[in-house]
Amino acid sequence: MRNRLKVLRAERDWSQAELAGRLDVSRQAVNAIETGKHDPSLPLAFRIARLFDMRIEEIFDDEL
Amino acid sequence: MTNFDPPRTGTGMSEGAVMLVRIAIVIGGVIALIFLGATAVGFISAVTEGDNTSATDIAIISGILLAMAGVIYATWRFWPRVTSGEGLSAGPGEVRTRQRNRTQMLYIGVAAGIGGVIGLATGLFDQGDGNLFGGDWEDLKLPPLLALVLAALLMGAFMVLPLYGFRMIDDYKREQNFIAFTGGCVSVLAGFPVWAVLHAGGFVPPPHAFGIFAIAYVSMFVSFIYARWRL
Repeated sequence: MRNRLKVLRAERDWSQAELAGRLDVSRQAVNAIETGKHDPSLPLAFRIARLFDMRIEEIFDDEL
Repeated sequence: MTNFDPPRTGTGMSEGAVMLVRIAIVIGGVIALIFLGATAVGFISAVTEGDNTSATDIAIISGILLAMAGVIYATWRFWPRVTSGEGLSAGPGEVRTRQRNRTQMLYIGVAAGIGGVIGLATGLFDQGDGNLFGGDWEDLKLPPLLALVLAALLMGAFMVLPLYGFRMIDDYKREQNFIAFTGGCVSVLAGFPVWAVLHAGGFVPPPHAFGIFAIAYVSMFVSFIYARWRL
């Protein structure tokens, strides 16, 4: 699944570790989500959406 | 096989703490390598003296060598690396990431401590000439009370700590660990009957308790490496 996580993170000038800490996951998890190797669970997807104040489908798209 | 990855840049620890961790890693790594190396040499010499090398013996030696490679890999992975940029970025997320890493290092320290106590106790108080890897159970002797304590510690090391570790890791690492555990479990479920059938056909020695354990452990390790590579 494609996502805009890397772009959103870069817009806020956050490192992967910073984003990982804010989401309470490992830096490796953030990297895996950004590169599309790992799809986050629904609770984590909601946490990501709340953190960026967006809807889930604005960040994740399975048709990109 | 719950694993924790150390931060690749920045440790979140003071210089003194980093030095202490490095010293602990070096001491632990050297002791583990000496123990495994001595075990391998002793086993190889026993096998060569016996003049009847079997596939099980080769599998056991391979397992010990794999464990030595694992110790070297773990030393490299957990070696605290301090970068010049450390301390510059201290957002709330990075502070929490460092707290998380410290908790995980503590977990690893406790696990290593339990392993050390088990190894030291069995080495100091072993009363028999038996070999855990050889399956000569009659010659394995420990004081009963110590055996009970070690059994409790082993339950902690192989059950409680891994299950507790699952509570500390995120979905991504949990998925990797599930793949690893599945690989180990499936290998035993298939490995034992396959081994028994091959023995019945005269191809291999009879199934061996440590051999089954080694199949589970090595399969779990290989599955974990595969998961890390693929995910």
